[in-house]
Amino acid sequence: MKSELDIMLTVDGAEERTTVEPRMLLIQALREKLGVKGPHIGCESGRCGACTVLVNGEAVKSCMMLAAQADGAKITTAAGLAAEDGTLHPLQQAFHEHHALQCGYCTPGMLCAAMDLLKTNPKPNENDVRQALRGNLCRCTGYQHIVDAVLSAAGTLGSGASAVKGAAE
Amino acid sequence: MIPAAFDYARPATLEEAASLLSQEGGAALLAGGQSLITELKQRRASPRAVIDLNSITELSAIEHGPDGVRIGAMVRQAELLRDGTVQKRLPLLCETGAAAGDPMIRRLGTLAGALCEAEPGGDWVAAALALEAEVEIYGKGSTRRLSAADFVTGTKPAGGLQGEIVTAVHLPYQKKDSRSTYRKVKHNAVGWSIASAAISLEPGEGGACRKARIAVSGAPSHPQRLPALEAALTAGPYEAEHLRAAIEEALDGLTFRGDHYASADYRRTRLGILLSRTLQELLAA
Ligand SMILES: Cc1cc2nc3c(=O)[nH]c(=O)nc-3n(C[C@H](O)[C@H](O)[C@H](O)COP(=O)(O)OP(=O)(O)OC[C@H]3O[C@@H](n4cnc5c(N)ncnc54)[C@H](O)[C@@H]3O)c2cc1C
Ligand code: FES
Ligand code: FES
Repeated sequence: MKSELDIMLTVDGAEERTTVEPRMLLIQALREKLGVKGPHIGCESGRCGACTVLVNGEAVKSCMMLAAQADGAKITTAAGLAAEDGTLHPLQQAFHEHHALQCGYCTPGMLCAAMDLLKTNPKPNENDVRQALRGNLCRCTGYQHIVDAVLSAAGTLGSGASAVKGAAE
Repeated sequence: MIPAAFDYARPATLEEAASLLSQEGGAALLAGGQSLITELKQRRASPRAVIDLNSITELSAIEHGPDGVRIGAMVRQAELLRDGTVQKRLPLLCETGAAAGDPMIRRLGTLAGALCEAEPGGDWVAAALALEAEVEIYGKGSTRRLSAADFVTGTKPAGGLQGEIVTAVHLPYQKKDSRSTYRKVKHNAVGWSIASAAISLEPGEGGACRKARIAVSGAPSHPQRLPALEAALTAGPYEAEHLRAAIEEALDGLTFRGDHYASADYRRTRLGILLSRTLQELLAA
């Protein structure tokens, strides 16, 4: 039984060590202990998805996991998706091109959830994308452009088309 | 939302976890954490210690047998839904799982944890009841098994667990000719069930069902089967009128819960409509 733990995380490629109380959530360790500000805190109750990160490649809500549980894990945040020289990941580029964000609060979580989807299902249809993102809330976009961006990154959206028939470009 | 302080251990074996559990009065077991961590944050639970089951690899296996599957307690819901044989032989479980939470919750959450939590609106619980799951429980050096119906009775802790650990959930495969579905009226904002039903029917002779399993969740005080309605369907035949009466009778036997999401009356009404439509659809299929 431990009341304090030394943990090691690889965050976006960098090895980080820190000491946490068992009650500390992964999102708190990332933001407050390690200064990793990619993942956001929205609801802190598992509903909004703003805190989503990839833990060993799988999207999880980092407010629903203890930092202690992630000891030894490889964490990828949205900020870690771009190449080292700053070139955007194709998914990020698609978000940019499709105006898939307004305030951007949900975006880090959306990107991580979509990364996970494209890993397990590289050619999703619109319903697959909507299902994959149902745990990520966006107050701004109405989701359509986010869905378009993910489909476009997957190469399943014809150029210039919207997933909604007849939707204005 | 910061939990109260607790000590933490991550044992590597079941024995080690069991012995920690017996040493530490008031310790909580952590599986996927998708219910427990919320309780810790809201301080509805303030255990002195948390015993993390996530490193116990012996709890992570999906084992298929000739008639059913044994699902280790730490198998993630997402992994279960991806399993090809589960998809083929347990369509009701997969349909239910797709309606429960979201992909990230399912990445961490476990079926066993959902049964232990036994939420009044639990989707997984309803499926486990309708599929006649059995819960395998380890403690004091021995193993016992409880049917899902004896495990989820509305009292806490589910299964009357005392210093015990759920090691697996056993599910018999669905019959090839069975007709099943999970239908859920969900609260639009939070996604939890207002009223839902997991139904599995095996068609029989002369319009009656060979077997009927109907489990409801969300609306009643706790998820449960409706044995009288099941019996009415196996007695058959089921004209619309007969069915309506049998549903009303089953609903009369339930206590409905009401809260800030939906009143007891509304839940009852929605459950009645859902049962009647879904059963008619399955019976006509
Ligand atoms: C935002 C959100 C939305 C959700 N939506 C839904 C939904 O729509 N439908 C639905 O059905 N569920 C929903 N859930 C709940 C989710 O399915 C949980 O994963 C599940 O209820 C609990 O499983 P877990 O493995 O995370 O258990 P944990 O949270 O780790 O544990 C739950 C409880 O069971 C005990 N326990 C766990 N494993 C064992 C074991 N092996 N032996 C003994 N005791 C054990 C724990 O001590 C704890 O008391 C939602 C959760 C969240 C956060
Ligand atoms: S902050 Fe984690 S889901 Fe909202
Ligand atoms: S862009 Fe503002 S919340 Fe999604």
